Amino acid sequence: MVNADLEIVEYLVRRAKGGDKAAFSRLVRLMMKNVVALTFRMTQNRDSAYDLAQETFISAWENLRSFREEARFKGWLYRIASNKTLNYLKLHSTRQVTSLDAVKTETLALVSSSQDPEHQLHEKEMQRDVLEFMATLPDQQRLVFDLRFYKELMFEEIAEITGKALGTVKTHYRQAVIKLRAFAKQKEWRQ
Amino acid sequence: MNCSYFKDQMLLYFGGKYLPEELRRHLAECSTCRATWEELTGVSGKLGADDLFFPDDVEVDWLVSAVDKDIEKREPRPGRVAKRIRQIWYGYVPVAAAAALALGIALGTYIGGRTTFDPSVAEPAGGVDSIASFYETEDEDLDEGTLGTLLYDFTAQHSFNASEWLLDDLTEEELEFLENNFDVGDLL
Repeated sequence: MVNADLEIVEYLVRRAKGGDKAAFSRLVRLMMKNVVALTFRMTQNRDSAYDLAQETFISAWENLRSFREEARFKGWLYRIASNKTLNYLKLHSTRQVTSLDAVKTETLALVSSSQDPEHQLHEKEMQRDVLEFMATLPDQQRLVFDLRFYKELMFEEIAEITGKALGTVKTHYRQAVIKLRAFAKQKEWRQ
Repeated sequence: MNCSYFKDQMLLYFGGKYLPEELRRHLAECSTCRATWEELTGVSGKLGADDLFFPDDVEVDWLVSAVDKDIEKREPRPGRVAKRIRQIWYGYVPVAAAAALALGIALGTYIGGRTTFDPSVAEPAGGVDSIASFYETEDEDLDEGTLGTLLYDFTAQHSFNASEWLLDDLTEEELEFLENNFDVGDLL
């Protein structure tokens, strides 16, 4: 997110805290894709990902007045989404054994940004591979990997979001990357 | 620092935009670690970016509209300060209001009791004594305002014959002082 976007988000958060629902709606629109991407990679289920994203924003709206640091809205939102997703995964722990067929079906729900059929196919394959790899990680490791690799957050921010010690967060990430290397070798990924 | 240290660093900085200078220097010098880093970079390229998993605009519209509908029915919960104010308002204000009311009633009763003073029952000595004691102790400071207040207080309590009681109880010196210093008119 560039600085101009951050300023807009800060402004909208201030308005929304004052009860401005239109401002909050704009925030939802700005952040929805980011939240869905997180919940989808975590749950690997489109409907659940959408439900969790909606619940995240509703919870954010309800608790907005208790939130003080407008500049850190994105992190706060990720924290809500992470907590909701981890709770969901605890209740649906059988998801760990997601089959590749199921992953294929889920990825079809995501529409490619490209109009080129070949590129679309390539993107689908990438999505499927990523979801397959993510499915091999325990919930906490997957969350840390996602927040670090895809959301490009610092370990300190991830520690704050997950409520884990900095050392634990780094360990989760290290282990996830070691598993990724093994997965890549197994899949014979080449540059 | 040896290669195992930098291998650990590579795992931590995998996917990140920033590489620490010491790792950068080591990669320039160590071909083994550089090969590992290149391998990791290749893997990173296979994972795409966050937007690989973004829903399309139609779905975003639908999701935003669903959230809008939901929050239309809800109000944000009050913030911590508002919660505290509400606790105080509902917790302490009724008690304070009840205490103020009780105090008001007590004061009202007391003041009401004073204003219905009956001169035929009570002795008027207090007012006279207070004037006399004023003369005895502070006659130099006794000014027109103070005397007026004392007289007003006394007459308010003792009705029309107050001046007679006052005059009867005044000493010669006090009468003379009044005559010389104040416009007492027909009072004396």
